[in-house]
Amino acid sequence: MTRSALKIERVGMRFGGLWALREVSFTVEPGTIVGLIGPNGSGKTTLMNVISGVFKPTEGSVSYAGRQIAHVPTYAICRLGIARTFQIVKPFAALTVRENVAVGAMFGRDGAKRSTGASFARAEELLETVGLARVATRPASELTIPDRKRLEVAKALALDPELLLLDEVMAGLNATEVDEALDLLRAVHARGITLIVVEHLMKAIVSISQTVVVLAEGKKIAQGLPAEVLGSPAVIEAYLGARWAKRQKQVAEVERERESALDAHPPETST
Amino acid sequence: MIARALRGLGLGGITGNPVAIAVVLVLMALLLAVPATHNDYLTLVFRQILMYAAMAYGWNLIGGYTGYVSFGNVTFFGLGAYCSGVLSTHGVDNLFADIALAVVVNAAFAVLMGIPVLRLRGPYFGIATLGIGVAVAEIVANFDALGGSSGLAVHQVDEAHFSIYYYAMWLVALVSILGTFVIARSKLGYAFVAIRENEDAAAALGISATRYKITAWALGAMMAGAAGAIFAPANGFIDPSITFATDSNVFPIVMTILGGIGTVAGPFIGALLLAGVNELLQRYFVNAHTLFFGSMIVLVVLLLPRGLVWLFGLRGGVRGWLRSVAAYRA
Repeated sequence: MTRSALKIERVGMRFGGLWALREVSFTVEPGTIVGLIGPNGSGKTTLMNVISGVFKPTEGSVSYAGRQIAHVPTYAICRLGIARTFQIVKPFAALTVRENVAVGAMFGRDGAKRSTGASFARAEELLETVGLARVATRPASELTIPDRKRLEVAKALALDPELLLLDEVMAGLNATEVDEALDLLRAVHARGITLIVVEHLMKAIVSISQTVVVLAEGKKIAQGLPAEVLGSPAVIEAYLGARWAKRQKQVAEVERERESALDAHPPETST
Repeated sequence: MIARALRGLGLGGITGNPVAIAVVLVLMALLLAVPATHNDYLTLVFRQILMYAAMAYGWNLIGGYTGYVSFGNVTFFGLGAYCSGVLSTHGVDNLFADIALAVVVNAAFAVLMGIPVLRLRGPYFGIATLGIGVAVAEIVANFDALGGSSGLAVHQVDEAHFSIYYYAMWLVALVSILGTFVIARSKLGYAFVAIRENEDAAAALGISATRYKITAWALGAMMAGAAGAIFAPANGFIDPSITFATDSNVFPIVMTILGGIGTVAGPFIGALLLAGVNELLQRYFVNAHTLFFGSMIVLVVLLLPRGLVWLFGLRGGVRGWLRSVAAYRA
């Protein structure tokens, strides 16, 4: 498998008078898992849409494997090896679960080489992987929410991607289901697929990502190892508000003063 | 029971109910015997049914499978008829040449029109196709080389061989039915349905929506065009009001909806029932027939929202049917 980096450089996306993204830059190295987090409305899904070609960025560039993809149509981007899931799941309701996945296998990166029969066989394999084999012949409209999320992942995997964009595949799942989803993502990653994971669940992001990128109001405010990023004041402020951050700072100062006072005048201890 | 067995073979789903398809093929085989009755009226009625069926299959590809409701498919029928008319005025009286020219001209016209028009979605597409239909009819009506609004006489075969038009129409209908079956089960069919179900999700799965929409439209245009190419000599005369008639535009759409949208059997079943009932009503209720006709359509839409083909897959008798109607509305 060829390994390619995704480079996002100074990307800006404007809707009317609103900049949904501004000067966002980062690189996704092949074989890594990048967590993309940020409060509601911070531009995560917009960025997903820019990478997958749904939106053409107002400024900046997106390149994949050294090739500019910012103005490549969605269907062609998918054939370059970039697949995505949708936050608001979009199953083909009139088709069966197996047919849904087979469509991906037919038109994805290796689709041209695959017959319809081979596409259905591939779909069966993937349904086994994501745990939907039991409902393969049911109409997609009958699936529960967790199963619809699995179907999104199976459809994206059917495209034989190198890079997979996962837009909130764990939203609305309970704790057990989240653990199952994390296992699934690790299995997908183990196949050599690079992942960009957009998620609200901090626990999930921390446990799976190697790098975390934080967006707030369309700007990148932090990037780094999960533990470092989540402790950074800018991230806390973005999530919990300026007042909370200030209070945290005051609390920290009081703590520090108390500690230094203690250092200068250690309480008497009887030994 | 057969339906369930066949569904296991993967014949359900995208093609619709397999029993319904079998019924259609049996009926088609029976229709082959109609000219042998030597009843000119009956032959004419069934030739019209086959003609509407071919047009309905043409509409079904873009409107039923791809989900783009076209109100301009009569344009393709008319262009097909005028292909025969033009060939006839130049002394060419060969039905195969007529059909071949009509198919090529229609495919080219559909691609040319489709490139701008199929970028539009939903009602905008419908309005644009309606506009194309009206515009082409007006252009033909003002084109002296095409006979203008007074029309063209088209050369016919002598009476002894007249059933050739019936058989030709039968063949076009059969090719449309089998073609739809093959297309539906191929990658094309899945691309069409994916676009209908969610165009954005289809694009995210590598489907170039514009390309496949144009393909669906052009394939449908070929079916309608071939029907038009046979209609012209069979009728002996064409003018814009006959070939671009509102009935010819609306009937195939209503027939497809009545029979079952986006299925292989639906358009034929719809054409047979609608054209048949229309003919009977017209015969016995010269003035009131449109009233019955309209009521029938309303009843079908209320009681069979997914078309007659749906009945083939229903379980549980009247109660099962009522429950399905309620579930569909919910």
